[in-house]
Amino acid sequence: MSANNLLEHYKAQRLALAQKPTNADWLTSFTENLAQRVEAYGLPTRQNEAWKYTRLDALAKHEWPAARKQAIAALPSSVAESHKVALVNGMLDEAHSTIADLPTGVTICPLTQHPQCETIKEKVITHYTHNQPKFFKACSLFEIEHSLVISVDANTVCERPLHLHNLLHADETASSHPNVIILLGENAAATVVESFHANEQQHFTNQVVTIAVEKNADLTYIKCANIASQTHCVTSHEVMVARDARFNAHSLTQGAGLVRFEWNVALNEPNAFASINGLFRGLGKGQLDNPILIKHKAANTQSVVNYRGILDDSSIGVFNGKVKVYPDAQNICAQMQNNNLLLSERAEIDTKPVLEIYADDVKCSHGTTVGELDEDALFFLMSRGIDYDTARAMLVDAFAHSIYDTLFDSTIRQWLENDYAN
Amino acid sequence: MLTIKDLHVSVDNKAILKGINLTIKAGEVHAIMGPNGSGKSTLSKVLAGRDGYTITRGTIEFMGQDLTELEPCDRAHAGLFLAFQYPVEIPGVSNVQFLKAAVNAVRKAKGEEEISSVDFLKLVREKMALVDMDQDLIYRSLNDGFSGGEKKRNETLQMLMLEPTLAILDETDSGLDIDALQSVAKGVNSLRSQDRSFLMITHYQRLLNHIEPDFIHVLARGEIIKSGDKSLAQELEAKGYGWLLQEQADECE
Amino acid sequence: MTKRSEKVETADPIEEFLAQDYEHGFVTDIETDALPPGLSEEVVRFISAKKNEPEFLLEWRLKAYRHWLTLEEPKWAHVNYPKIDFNAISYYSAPKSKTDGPKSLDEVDPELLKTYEKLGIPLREQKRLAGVVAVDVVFDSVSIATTFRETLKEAGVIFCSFAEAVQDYPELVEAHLGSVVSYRDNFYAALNAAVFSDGSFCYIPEGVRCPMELSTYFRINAANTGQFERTLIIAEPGSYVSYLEGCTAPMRDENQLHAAVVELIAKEKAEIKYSTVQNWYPGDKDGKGGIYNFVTKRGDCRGDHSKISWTQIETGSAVTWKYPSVILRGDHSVGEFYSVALTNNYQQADTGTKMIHMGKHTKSTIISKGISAGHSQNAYRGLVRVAAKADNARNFTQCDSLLVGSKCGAHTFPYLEARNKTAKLEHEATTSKIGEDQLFYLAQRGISADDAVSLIVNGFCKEVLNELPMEFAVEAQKLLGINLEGSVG
Repeated sequence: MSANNLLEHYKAQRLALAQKPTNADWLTSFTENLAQRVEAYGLPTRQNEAWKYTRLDALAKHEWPAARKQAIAALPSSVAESHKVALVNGMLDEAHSTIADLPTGVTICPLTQHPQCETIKEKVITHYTHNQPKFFKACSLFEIEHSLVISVDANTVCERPLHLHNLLHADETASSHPNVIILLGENAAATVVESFHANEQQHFTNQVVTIAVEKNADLTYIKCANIASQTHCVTSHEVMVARDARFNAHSLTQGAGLVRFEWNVALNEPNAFASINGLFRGLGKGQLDNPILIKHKAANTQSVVNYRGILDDSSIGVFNGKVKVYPDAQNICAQMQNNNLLLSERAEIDTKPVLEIYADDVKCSHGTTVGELDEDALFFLMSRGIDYDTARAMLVDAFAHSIYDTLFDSTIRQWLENDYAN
Repeated sequence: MLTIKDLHVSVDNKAILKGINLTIKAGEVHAIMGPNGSGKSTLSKVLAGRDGYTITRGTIEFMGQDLTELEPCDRAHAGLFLAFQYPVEIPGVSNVQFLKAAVNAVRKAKGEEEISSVDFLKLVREKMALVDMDQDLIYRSLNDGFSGGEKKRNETLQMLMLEPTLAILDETDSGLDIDALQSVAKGVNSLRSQDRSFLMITHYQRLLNHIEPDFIHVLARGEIIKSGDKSLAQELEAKGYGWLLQEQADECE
Repeated sequence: MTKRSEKVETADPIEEFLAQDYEHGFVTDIETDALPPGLSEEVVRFISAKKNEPEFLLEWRLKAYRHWLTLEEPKWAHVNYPKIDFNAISYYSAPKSKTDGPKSLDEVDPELLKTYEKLGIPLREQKRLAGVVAVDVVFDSVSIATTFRETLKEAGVIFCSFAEAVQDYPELVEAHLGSVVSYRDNFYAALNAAVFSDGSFCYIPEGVRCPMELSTYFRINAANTGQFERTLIIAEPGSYVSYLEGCTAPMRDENQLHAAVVELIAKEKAEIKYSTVQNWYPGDKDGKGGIYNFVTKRGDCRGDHSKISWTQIETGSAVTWKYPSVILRGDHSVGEFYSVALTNNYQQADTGTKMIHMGKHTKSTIISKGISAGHSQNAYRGLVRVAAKADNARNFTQCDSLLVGSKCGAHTFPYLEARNKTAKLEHEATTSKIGEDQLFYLAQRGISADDAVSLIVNGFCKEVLNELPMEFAVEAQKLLGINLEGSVG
């Protein structure tokens, strides 16, 4: 790392947080440990396998001071009929949220105000003790105390989707570290949509989302970021899935900045299921990074990962997926697929679907393809009078559509197609 | 040919068969019927020597030998054939390669010469025609992607090729359409002879219309609760298994 | 090991040598002319002087050695082994009678010839493979004899030991050595460049189709000896050669290091087919002993329309770390990689390939089959890279894993990097197992467990086995069966 890498300043600034006295012992020891991790690992380099294809140049240009509390005028458009939650610069903005009428058993509030605060803390701390975070994750987890918790009690079904707006709003260069915890109790079910939005400044969001899906619960989580070139977003999703539970994620990223959506899913108990459908579209000098790790820790667990990448201009797409089957986790079914379209001479895709298997009764498969638009199809459309740009857009949309098709909720699809994508 | 005496079998320490007595003589066709979970498939697996089935009491004698002493492949060499309820798929191993290996293994055990490729192919074609099997199927991977009917025809083809002394048909008819059932029956009937016996395990009476048994046994709760001739099948078809179970319960009191 | 050897009655040497678990565990008791363990600039100079090498080669070795000193042992592969003490290895071991070099086979130490007979290597021209395969034999570090040299010479083909090539064709060696695998390439390539003692050299002139298969047998004999052979094959425009490589080593408790380098150069419209059956001693059932096989193999499709094809059957070695690669530099060039890697007991393999597409309209195919049994770990690692100017590159990759037993691991690490939008890359991978259900089904049809495993394994590998020359295919098929015996049941 060069001396003028301003991320070193960012690191120092985050470490300073660990020095601040806290009024809670758990927090003191938690942050001390994080500080040690940050020191020990330092900034990731491309020698590190997980960052092999990621260029941090865009981040290295600024110091990223923390964004202050700021009022916003209005929320961007939301999914129809959803409960809206506004998180501005990492803080819950109740004025723009519609959480007064949440169904019984559904709670959305900061961690410290949550009725089950102690239990949640316990769960989260245990998780990060066993899954030691590295640089970015640790830098974000310093804000654990200010986490926003979305919890759905056991046997509760939240009918309407929850739409979490994750906004970074500042008049100058700034960073935000929104920590989110999503908990679904036994037999609970919910759909959460989370979308990023930033105003036109140099912005960097470094987020950790911790998710626990308890026995037989069902969580659908749609995560999307459509960002401009000056916005960067590094998010880690840490997901624990219990017996018979289902976790369906949709990871949708688009833009010209650095977006890294990491998914780290542990199928901890028998018959747990996880799917992640992802779509990444790179524009300009965008860098769309998709590290995925699915851990099959118990027998009869199943996972499906399906990503499509569309890379235009000089953008770079990375798919770095790994399925790991632990010893004695028998009767596993895992599929991983990544198909990519390169649209420009300068675009690049690096894809690496890894299988690491230590049990014998497994049925795993993975596949990847890289290609360009089908010339014949393009020619056909144009021969029917459709101009080149329209024809190209049609074919690209068709390629992307198979990911949208995995979304069953039509109101969410409508919102994605009409509001998010544009 | 086959003599089963007081056979008790358990799986994971759970008793499944509780004292089976059955004698099959050369040339006879026996059918074992019974409700689901009665132990029918366990019996077929024990006879073929599947691991995980513990014989806790009793004996099985086949062609004068103690069957329980033999490895599964030695039982096959001795002339015992099991048509599987769920034939196993083996990707990468072609059907023809497999059949030839099996035929030669059995011939070798009998001290016979290996079959020549020309004779082998001729024989396979002939037998495939007999069970109305698509000729292309022998070049595909073993059972890989076969339909239910194709798999059962393939089981019958293997039986025709190996010409066993005792063939056990484990639910060969389950889930079959009428065409496939007729093909399978045609194959079986072509093999019927004075010195060859069959043990058919089935849930339905339908199969017995196509392959006529000499004896029918009803297996329930791990025991043969009734034996009779083929008229028993019609009675079962009409009344179900309930009356038999009831009858047995009465006897117990 | 009883059943199989009973079946073998004929004295066919290949049959015999395949008839056991690891029959090659005999040690030939002949005087060796070996250096004491240790590595220094003096050792490098000694080796070079011993071989009477020209100045350019000594300089090159020294540069490599100095570069090696700056490097650290690579750690990224999915393998674990104790740290190697490079000073405990002897870097030169030649059978003593070789000091002056035999002029013909008759001068070769008869002990050695017996060794090869035990190995089933048809060194004597009247043997079974006579007239089919020309053989060069590398024993520990030196090449012993090359058969059929005369016949080959008529066709203009040069096939000799590397040391002889250095003496007889220094200009060819100087022009091509290190042009595919630089001494700077990696840790073991640097080590090899510094201390390599012999290997094979092969030159096919323009327009010549090599009249027979060329073959090298490698054997490590002396204890504590590293084997660092170097193979260089140059195919001039329009030529064709098929080259086979077989490897064995005796059983020893301690691990032995093998760090070879193979460089292939295919010029315009030339084709090189390189096949390996690697059966180094894998260590015993508890993972003791065995060869560390850290090899750099690379082919350069330098000319347009050239083709390089690697086929490997890897069944031996305690630890294998090997990625035969192709640089597709010429337009319309073709690279192929067909591999079966089998690991049993405590073996570890991290193997695969790199296909670097640089020319236009280049095409590569990767078929990799990994079989893991026992407590072994088997990893496929492959890179397909399409450079920005490589228009219309095509790659198809299929890598499948088969697991036998529940204590082993099978891993797949494919890397695809595309910087050209006209690239079409496809990668498919599956993992499956040999299950009890499958074995029972085959047993019920009269097929024994060992035969059933062979049947399934050979079915699983057939796309790769089909790529081997006939004699090797049979050998390979048997090797796979033998190495898996007793792993199921």
